[in-house]
Amino acid sequence: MNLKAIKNLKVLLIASLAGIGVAYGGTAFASHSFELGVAGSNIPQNTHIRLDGLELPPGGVLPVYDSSPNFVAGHFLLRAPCDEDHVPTITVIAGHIDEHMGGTFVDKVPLYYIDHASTAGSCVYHAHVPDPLNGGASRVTDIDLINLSGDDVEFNPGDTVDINIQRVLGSITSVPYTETQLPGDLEHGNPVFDLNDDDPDNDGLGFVE
Amino acid sequence: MMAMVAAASFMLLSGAALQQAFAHASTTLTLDEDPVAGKKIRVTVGHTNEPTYGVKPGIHDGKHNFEVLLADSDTRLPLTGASLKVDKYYFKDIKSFKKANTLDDADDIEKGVTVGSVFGDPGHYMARQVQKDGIYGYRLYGTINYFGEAKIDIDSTMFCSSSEGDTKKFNSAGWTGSFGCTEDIVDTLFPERGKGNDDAALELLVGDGGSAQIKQASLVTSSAPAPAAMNIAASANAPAPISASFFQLMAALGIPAAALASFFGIRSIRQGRRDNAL
Repeated sequence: MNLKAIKNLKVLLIASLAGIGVAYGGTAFASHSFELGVAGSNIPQNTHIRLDGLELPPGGVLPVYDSSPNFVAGHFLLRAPCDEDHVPTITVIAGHIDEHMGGTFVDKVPLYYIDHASTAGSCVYHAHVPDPLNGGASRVTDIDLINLSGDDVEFNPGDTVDINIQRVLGSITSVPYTETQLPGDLEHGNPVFDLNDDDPDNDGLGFVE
Repeated sequence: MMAMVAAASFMLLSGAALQQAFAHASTTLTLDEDPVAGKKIRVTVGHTNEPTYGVKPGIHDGKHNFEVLLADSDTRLPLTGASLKVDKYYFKDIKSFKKANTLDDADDIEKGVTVGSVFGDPGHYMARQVQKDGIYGYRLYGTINYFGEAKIDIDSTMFCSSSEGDTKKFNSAGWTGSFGCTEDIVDTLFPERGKGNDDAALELLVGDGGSAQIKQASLVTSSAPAPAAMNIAASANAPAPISASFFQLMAALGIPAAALASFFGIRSIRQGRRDNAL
């Protein structure tokens, strides 16, 4: 093979490799599944329920959210009638209500009282769903309002529930509750924290000064 | 020539779209510090995509990063703010692993690698790496932050699980589940080498250098027309409809480039012959 022929072969080889290179352009071998491109567990979802005009009798229940079988993370807002200690007259409960009683576990939701947004006989609360530091059910598929006060609860104009679900954390079928706690097992009155009063002992956990 | 290069492009790309599974090992740490004493942390480790295959130039990138997922055990809420490092141990095969008496007998060791948090994915930590076929083990150590209320140290070792033998002897106590050891991607060929009419096409996958792959590509097209070769490549990636369109896109880019390559190459050869004749 003379020098000319070798040169021609080189041209062919380089040109062919260039062609393959174009075909691979920038995407070759990439497997970016570990990056945020896969966002399959996220649900940008908001539930808003007006409560004004509703009346719950003793023992009455208003289911406001159910994402079964997924347990979720998110933010909860409530505006509802409250007593002088800022405890709501209805009780907010969350957890998992299963078709099977033995698979049901609900608990009272720890609430943060928001004084500067509370007016006209109703209190405004925020809650973290779930709240691993301050209590409540650890895996939430259901949120309900239940009247455990023994009296009728009548909601005021402007009262509302707003639930923003930001992430699915898992499936209750793979991490079921092993302990049973039913709505009827609970007593009236959510734990209420207040970051804005003079008492540092009712700030709850998770907030750094 | 166009068909040859196009076929080579498709066959080379086929390795990038292999099906993936997910397997990890996990352990639980219990906090003993007030006010969160008794709370549990779930630590999950593994590789970013499974099954894992060693790097094979032109076929598979071998990119299987070491990853750690930290979460509150009860709620599964992710835990951020951890400071983690990993010592990595590699054994080339089960024979080498069985011979080892300590981790220091590993065929390769890399210590003090930072396992950094993944941007935009809370609770997810990762150390990038490209793997070879073999047995991988990791000593994970550092400090985990529990929602800013407590910290807990971790120092635990976990090895991958091999189908060729037990690889648990260096594992720390408390791990459940497993992640797979890194295999040779050639073992996944179907049909196996030496069977059927597509021997030449399969040979393409096991070739080592770029020039060898191009040579084998010419064998592919000599036994089957280009569209058929394309179909073979596409069917190998059948699980993902996206892959089909991906290959179509690559064809759109690759064929014109290959045509240009052929045109200039052949013209150069003809010119050479004319020069020789003169």
